[in-house]
Amino acid sequence: MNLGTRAILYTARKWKKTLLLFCLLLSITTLVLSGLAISDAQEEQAEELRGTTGTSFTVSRNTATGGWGNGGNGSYSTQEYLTSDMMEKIVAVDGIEGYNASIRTILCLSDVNGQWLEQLEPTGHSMVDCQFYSYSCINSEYHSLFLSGALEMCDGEMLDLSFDNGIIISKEIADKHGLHVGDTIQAVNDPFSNDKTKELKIVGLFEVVADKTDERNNYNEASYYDYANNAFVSETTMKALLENYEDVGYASADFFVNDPEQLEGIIQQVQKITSINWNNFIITANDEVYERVSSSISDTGTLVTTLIVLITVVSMVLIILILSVSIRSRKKEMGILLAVGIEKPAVILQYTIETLLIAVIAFPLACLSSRQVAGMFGTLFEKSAENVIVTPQHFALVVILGAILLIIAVLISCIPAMRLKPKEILSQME
Amino acid sequence: MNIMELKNVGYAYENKRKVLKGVSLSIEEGKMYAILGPSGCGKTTLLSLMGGLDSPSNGQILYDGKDIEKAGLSAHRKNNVAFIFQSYNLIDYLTPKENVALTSKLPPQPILERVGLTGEESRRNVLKLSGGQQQRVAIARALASDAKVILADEPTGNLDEDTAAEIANILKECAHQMNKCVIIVTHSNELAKHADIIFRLKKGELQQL
Amino acid sequence: MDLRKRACLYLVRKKGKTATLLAFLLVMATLVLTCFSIRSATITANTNIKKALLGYFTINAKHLDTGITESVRNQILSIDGLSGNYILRSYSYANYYDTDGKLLEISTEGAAQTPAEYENAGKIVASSNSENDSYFTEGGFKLTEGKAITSENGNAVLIHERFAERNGLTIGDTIQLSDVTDKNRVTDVTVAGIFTSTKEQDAIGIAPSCDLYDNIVFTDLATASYLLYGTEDETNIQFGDFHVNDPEELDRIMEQVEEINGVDWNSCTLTCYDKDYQNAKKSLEGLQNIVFIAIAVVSAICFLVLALFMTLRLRSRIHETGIYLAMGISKGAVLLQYLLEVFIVAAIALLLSYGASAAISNQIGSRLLSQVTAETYETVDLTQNAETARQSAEDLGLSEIIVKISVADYAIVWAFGLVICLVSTALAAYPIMKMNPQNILSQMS
Repeated sequence: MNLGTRAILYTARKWKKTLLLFCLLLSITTLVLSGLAISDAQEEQAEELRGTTGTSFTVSRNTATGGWGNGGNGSYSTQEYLTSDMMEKIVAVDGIEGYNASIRTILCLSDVNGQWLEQLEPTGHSMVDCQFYSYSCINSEYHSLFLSGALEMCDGEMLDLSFDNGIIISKEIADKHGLHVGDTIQAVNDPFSNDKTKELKIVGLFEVVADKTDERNNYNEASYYDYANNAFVSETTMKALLENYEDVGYASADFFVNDPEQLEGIIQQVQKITSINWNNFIITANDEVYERVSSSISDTGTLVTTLIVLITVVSMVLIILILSVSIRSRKKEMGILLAVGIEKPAVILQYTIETLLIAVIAFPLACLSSRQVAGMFGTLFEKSAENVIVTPQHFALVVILGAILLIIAVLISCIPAMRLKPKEILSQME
Repeated sequence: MNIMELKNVGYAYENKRKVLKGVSLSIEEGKMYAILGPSGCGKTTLLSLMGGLDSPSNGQILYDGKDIEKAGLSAHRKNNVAFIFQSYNLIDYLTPKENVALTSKLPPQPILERVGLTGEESRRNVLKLSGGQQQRVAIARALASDAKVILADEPTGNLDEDTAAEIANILKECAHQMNKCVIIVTHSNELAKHADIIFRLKKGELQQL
Repeated sequence: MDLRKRACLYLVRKKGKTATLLAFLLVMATLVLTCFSIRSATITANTNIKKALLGYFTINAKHLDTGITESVRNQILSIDGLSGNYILRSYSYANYYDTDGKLLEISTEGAAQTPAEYENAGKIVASSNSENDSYFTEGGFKLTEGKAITSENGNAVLIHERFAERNGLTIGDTIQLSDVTDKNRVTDVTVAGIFTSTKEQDAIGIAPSCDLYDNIVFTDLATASYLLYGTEDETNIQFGDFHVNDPEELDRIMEQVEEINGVDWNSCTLTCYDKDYQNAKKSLEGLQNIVFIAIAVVSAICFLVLALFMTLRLRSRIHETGIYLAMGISKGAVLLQYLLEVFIVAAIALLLSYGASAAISNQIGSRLLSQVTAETYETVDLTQNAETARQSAEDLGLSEIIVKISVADYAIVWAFGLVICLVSTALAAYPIMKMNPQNILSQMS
């Protein structure tokens, strides 16, 4: 009788024991597979968490290396400005999620009939009261006022380059003048020059969250305007409104990265863009939030990874222990087989085949059960576990390593039996 | 013709206690031998030496005129000898037929019938057979191998008198009709009586009765 | 021979089997214990993340006649959940004099206008630590000489280098500040430092003269309190930023603040700042859930494997059971013997597992960043102002993540472990016990 037949007969006839071993293998494989899926999910979640820190870098004119000119209100830097072309080159670097740069101006807003729209708290000077501090945006989502949470969209949508006649104003102003998303208003940069008046559609309304009366922020021009008197237009709109003025470009632009961990590498990539003279620009990393939380996030990662490594190691130990218990209880059978003249390697091979026969069924089933187990516990404790996904790679890894481990475990478990001297075979059996 | 020959075989345990002192013996095919002796006298040791499970401290064991140690103990075990035990030692997840087929390519059923097992019994779970039937399966397994020498260690020790006599007769038939050489070690005079030649192992020495 | 003796003899004589069982239980208990210690460590890490996201609320008491008094502040600080980090701020305007009562000269170049009565006045900025003021952290101000002002030094000011130049002032000089509202509050202050501005003021042409960078003076909270409220021994403030440990609790804490008596909260503005936390909230919860699920899966499967293993082990003792029963030992006594054996081994395993998992936990702990302060921050070298806004771990008041087995967890593992061992042994023994001795003996091989 060949050893394959023996292996199959053992597996089938000793079905209770086979079933036990099968359950054990199934549980342990499920454990390891879930562990791997959990480890991946953790990494993904941690990356997502890192991504929420709004990490960016700012490219700004280096006024220290540029020349200085005089005029108007004192000295000004003659350093070159950041052009749209440069920004497009920078944003093409891998890992940059979006960017924004703003031109700020004061726009006078009026309704479609040319009636000036009054500010929230008018001063009484008619020509000042229709002035709104306005930002042009490449993508308003990345505007610092929205990112910092000072302003929050409450209606409509954000602006990007695809809008060439859209405007976002505050809900308070809209309410004051009975305006809604979809309504049209007019904007002009300087009503006393020949600047063009442009009709703009209100695409979104924002709510003021931050306390503008907090004097903490009182150090720039924008501070003299209530948040409610801010407005946002797209870059294209701004360029049309300012067509009478020289388009110098931007003093600075913010680039947002997907994963703060990559920030350093991305900045290095950006600095390799040769068409930009980096002597004229400074790159500043804005990753304070990430820096504050990164150690704790990576600690969580370390903890979960250790847990998974521990699970894997323990599983290996368990499999060896279980197989050694199971094989040790077959010492007598081994003795008989040896006594009737079957070679030791054939006996070991038979045991290996038996184990692998169980594994062949247990492994794919474990793949199925581990897909369920995370979700099951998730539902049980009302916690989401959507991203705990067992991938074919996990399965392949477990199958290959599992098979190797099982063979090694059988060999290790067989060591005591194999050490058996022929003369001990008889005494073993009596 | 002598199939096996023991020449002045001695054996001592690691604690130097000598259990066999210069045993010499020649055995032939077609005969049944019995080695009698009380428990602990070295019967099983002698059997394991003949079966190639252990090597003697001194002396030589020849099979077919060749020293079994030089020819290889495992080859000797595999090709030349078959064991029968007091506790039958059947593989419990195999049927009688499958137990017989373990090492043999011969059809098992005729051999099982020869030792007195019906076709139905041959397909049963071995644990559901009586002691006598189990021992018959063990004998059939030994017969199915090519081995010329069958070494039986107290083959009837677990059986009642009538069954023991049946088993002894089967073993004798093996020797006489199938030209095997059957060697039984036992403390039972009843069993020994069935043998063609009887030895007594006493104080490490073998005497023919 | 009573069953206790049998149990002990089995354990001692069957050394291999006892060792296997011990190893198995030890490994399982260690895994579960380590799991628990990892779980509590991730909870700490999560708390640290929440804390590091710096949720805080700001009280704007500009419109209160007395600002926020010390007693109100103490009541606020006693609210549970505050991290203890807080910044107090006050803003005012003051006329500048020298010690002889002579008015000092301010800059008006680029001012939109110079308001009446403000010809020699400038903005006064006071905070718990001038270094943390937004002019310094974001507005590009830099201290060139002297020290920053903290709440420890009283009657001190920082002045702009051009203001110092214009009025011939150096560090150590004394000037006088007086309020611009004719309340005749005059105080002597010493120049403790001189700062410069590195960015141009983009509000040129809009800002009144008193807001120009050149004319801004930083002082301590007590001085500002005197100028604003005329307080002598007490320091009242206009603004307070109070950091909380867990941004999730901001609403609760702010509600509690508004319950403090003696303050007209309707005239105050409370704003919560937790954008970073709100952004991270979902991901953070996701991360916590994953850890939780990991622990749940591990624990559940461990107990399952334990039960299966006990069954497997007992099946190899059918023979022995048969002999006992055949000898007339009662089934109960046999079962008790098996249970006792498992109990003894489990107890030893659980004792040993404490040491084993403590050692593993230590190892894990030493790999955590929060315990390796040297590595807390890697700065991106490419940034020109790397030194700004780099707070160390101590500043955030993060807790050290201790990977340790709590007594409660240990007790749970003891209880569950023993129950599972005993129940699974009993369950595994059930089919054997159900057989009558005859069947068992015929099963013996």
